[in-house]
Amino acid sequence: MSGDLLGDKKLVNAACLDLFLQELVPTSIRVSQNLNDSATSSQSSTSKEESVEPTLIDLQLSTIKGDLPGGVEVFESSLIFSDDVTVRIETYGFNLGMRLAELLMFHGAQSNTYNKFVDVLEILKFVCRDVWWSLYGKEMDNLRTNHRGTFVLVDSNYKLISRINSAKGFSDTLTKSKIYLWFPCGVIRGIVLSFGIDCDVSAEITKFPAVTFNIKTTINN
Amino acid sequence: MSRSGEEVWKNSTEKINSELFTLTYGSVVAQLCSDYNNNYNLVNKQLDSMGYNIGIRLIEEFLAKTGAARCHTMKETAEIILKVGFKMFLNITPQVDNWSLDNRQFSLILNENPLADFVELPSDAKDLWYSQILCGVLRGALHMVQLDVSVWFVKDVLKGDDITELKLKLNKILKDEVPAGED
Repeated sequence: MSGDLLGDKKLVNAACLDLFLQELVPTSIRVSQNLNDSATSSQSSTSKEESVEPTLIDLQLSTIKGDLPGGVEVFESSLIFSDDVTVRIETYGFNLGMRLAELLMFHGAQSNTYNKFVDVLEILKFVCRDVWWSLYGKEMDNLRTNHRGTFVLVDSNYKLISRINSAKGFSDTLTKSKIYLWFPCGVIRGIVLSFGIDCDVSAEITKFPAVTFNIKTTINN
Repeated sequence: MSRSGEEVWKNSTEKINSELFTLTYGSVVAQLCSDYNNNYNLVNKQLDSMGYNIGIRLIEEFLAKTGAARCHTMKETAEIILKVGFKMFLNITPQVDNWSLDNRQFSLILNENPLADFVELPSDAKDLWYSQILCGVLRGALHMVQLDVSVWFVKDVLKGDDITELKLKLNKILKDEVPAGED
């Protein structure tokens, strides 16, 4: 586990995190659908006294047609590219980024790896190296910059989408993979903002499953 | 051949720091609470569904890595869940206790819970079962090996209880059949 700032004092199976992250997109769609439903229904179907109905194999997970456990019908929802869903996914990432930066810097300071960053390039290197390593067990494959505050980061095999494969063919795989990219965009924005720098992050799939992240900061260095 | 939880954990598991996992889970729960405007029943339900979906897929990893054979009694099942399942995924081994007389129901006592490290709940969050996702995971995974079970939390140290306790009850053993949607 060399290269991991967080150390190996207490570990869990990496599959736990992978499986959990894969659930974020469907969950986000379902949350939006549920919120829409309760906003449109006249009576509140979500009273606080309602007891938790355990999820079972034949329980509809949302009002999206055919949305049963283990299925992919949720991705057919028209909500999938709505701002509500994408903002939520981005926020999952953003919140994680903000917290993760703090945790990594704490461990970095303890092991004397990092004390402070003096310029934005170092922050982006930190993203490429330590953030990516802790989340995906690998470093970013390429980092380029125009030295005017714009950075391009390339992960040639982005883990979160690398196993997506739609039954409807490759173009559908690409369309649906895109939605997953809001999560890492949020992570990067959260990390960079935690150092006090505002930025816009966008991502595109260059050659599946390679992903290019474009980061535009307001810093000119 | 079936392998022990310790062996799978040591030799064939890619590992990550548990703080990272705790942090990720925590920020999602926090966001769900704000999305659902602190309606904790809805949050519990959402976590449960996430868990169920995870369980359905997690069982494949479990079977592939452990080569576990069919269990013949609930006692055996409990043993495998605790010593192999929890061990290989969360690196903890909960205790089993309070067997019912018919041996169909038991308690899982979590002495540690990687999901809830460093977590403190606000005082108005009494209805939130923070680690509800575990119930969903167990229910989903066991359904895939033909066990229809109920799983629910009865105690959580985050709520001020002395221990964190889950109940697991066998409802029925399902017949081997083609899963829904694959016929």
